[in-house]
Amino acid sequence: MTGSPRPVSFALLSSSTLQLFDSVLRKEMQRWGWAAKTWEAGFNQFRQEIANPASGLYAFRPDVVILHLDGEDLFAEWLRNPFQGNRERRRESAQQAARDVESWAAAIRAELPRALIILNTVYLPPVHALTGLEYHSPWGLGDLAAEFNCELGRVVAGKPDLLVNDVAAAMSDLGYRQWFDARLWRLARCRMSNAAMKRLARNLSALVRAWKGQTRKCLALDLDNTLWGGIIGEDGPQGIVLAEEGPGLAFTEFQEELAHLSRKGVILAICSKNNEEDALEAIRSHPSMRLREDSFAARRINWRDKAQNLKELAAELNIGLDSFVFVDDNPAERSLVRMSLPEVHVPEWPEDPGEYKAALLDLAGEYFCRVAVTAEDRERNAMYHAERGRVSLAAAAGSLTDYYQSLQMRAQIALADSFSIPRIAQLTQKTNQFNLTTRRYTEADIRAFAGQPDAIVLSLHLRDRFSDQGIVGVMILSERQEDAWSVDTLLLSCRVIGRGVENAFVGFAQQLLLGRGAREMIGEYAPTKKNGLAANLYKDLGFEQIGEELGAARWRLPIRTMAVQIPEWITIEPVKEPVHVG
Amino acid sequence: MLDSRLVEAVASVFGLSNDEVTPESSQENIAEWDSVGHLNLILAVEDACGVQFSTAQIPELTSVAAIQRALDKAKHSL
Repeated sequence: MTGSPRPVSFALLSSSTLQLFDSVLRKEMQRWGWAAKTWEAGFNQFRQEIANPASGLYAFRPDVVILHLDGEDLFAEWLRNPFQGNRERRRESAQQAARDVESWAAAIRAELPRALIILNTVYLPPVHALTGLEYHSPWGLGDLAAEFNCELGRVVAGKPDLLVNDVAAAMSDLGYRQWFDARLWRLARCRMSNAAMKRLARNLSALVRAWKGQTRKCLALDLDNTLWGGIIGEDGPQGIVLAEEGPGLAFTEFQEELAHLSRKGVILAICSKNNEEDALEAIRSHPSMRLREDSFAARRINWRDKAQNLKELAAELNIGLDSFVFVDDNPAERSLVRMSLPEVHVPEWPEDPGEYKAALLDLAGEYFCRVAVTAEDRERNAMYHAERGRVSLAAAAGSLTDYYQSLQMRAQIALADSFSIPRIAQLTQKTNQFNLTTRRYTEADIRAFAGQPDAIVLSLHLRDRFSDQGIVGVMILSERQEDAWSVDTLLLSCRVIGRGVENAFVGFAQQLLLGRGAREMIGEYAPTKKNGLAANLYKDLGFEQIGEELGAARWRLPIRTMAVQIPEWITIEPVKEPVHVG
Repeated sequence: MLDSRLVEAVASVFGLSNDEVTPESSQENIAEWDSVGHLNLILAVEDACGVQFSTAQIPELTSVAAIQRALDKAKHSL
């Protein structure tokens, strides 16, 4: 994809004119790093060009010949007088047209033994004089195109350098009224609108790249809110959105489409921030999962940065990063990967899971186009899974700081007020992973804390370049002894973990306590099945361990002499005055 | 006043710089503005400005000034 553009030459032969299409095709190829040269036969001159060995077509020696024929031209007689004939006559007519196309392709092949020749399926205008009569009389038009298209499959069978571009499907996807531009037909004998030409160019470029072997090999996927709705570490396998009905059906259908893609030989991999056991539990046991553990050739499920994980996946699968496409619902993760690994294609992704399946089909059409499928393709993921060996690479921090800088994070830390108290209580109820003590509080509890002179309830509201994350952090401090404050509760929503927000939060609290004349800050970590992720927080922040009580480790920081660094990439906005607490 | 989107469309279709595009630019004085170039330009202007010209109108729009007048008219009829 990088470096100087690769040359490719196209000859365009058509029963209508493709003069306008020429520049659209060149622009499309350029987008993929190809410098396309084009040559076009004169209007309706394609038969002469094919028949004459000394023609301009053969002198041009193209890499690719596009023989673009319109149904309106192949079946012009039937359109001119549709009130004639019967089903059998139309079938003969369609088969004859297919034989004509077959002989033209053979004539081109004789002169250009190595060129790729692309034929196309045809359509006829869906509404016409026989509409209403079509199935109630001997007459008809619809079966002409259907029969011809069916015959094309026979024409190209066993010929790897003869492909069919499914123009009829593209037209039907866009809709005939968007596809056909009557103005361009009348002024220029062109049967495609601007939108149709762009679509045709995309399809052709995908076919040509697939034929050249220039397609991507691996689709790496995030898990939470990508393969299923919700967060597995918070909601549990029963709580995630993945079902046979309703909103969960969007994820089930998305997974089914991924399974189809894998049968075409696309390697699936997981690149996700979760506790691996939580994720695997859902993948192994959720009844609506369409993908299981052996659907994935490799996985990196951990809390490290995704660019590093993708590099490791590439090494483990022994394919280049330029063979990867990465899908993640989180724009910040997408941005990290795009910045660190420009070779990986990271598509924009719809916010509405209802659109995931359609987005995947579009993506597959452009990046995973396949013109042949082998038995090995169908088994590839299971094969990788079976042979998987753990490949561990040293984590290289590299440009992570640049990435954090680029997020432009702003943390607004505020005393609890009547607006934030419901959310604060909810976070104490829901947060399992980055939660140091996992104490569950009601709104009334939080309100009580906030009203006490020896307690401080802080909320952290995070914004970055991409989005407003809302309140994602809570800290409750209480003065247990004179000038010694304990961190009763410290939690962060898992969508902001791993960006240094926790350092900023504790650093801020330290300064706040210092301002109140405090001497020390006591942290506490009470292990649960889910919060292993936060086990080393106080140690990493420079606290010293002072013992254990009932399985909970206690940590101490003398705040007058030791400071917790607030990362330079997070801007802290000052505490607001509380709005009627109590 | 020329619509900047029109100027950019003319410049990009015919490979000119924006400064070279004036109301007087026309099929008469731009070599690349042939019959194919004309339709490419019309499609580019339609794309950029979100308008659609009629079959009868398209062959008449052979200068930048004429396209600008058609854009003004389309805007008024909204």
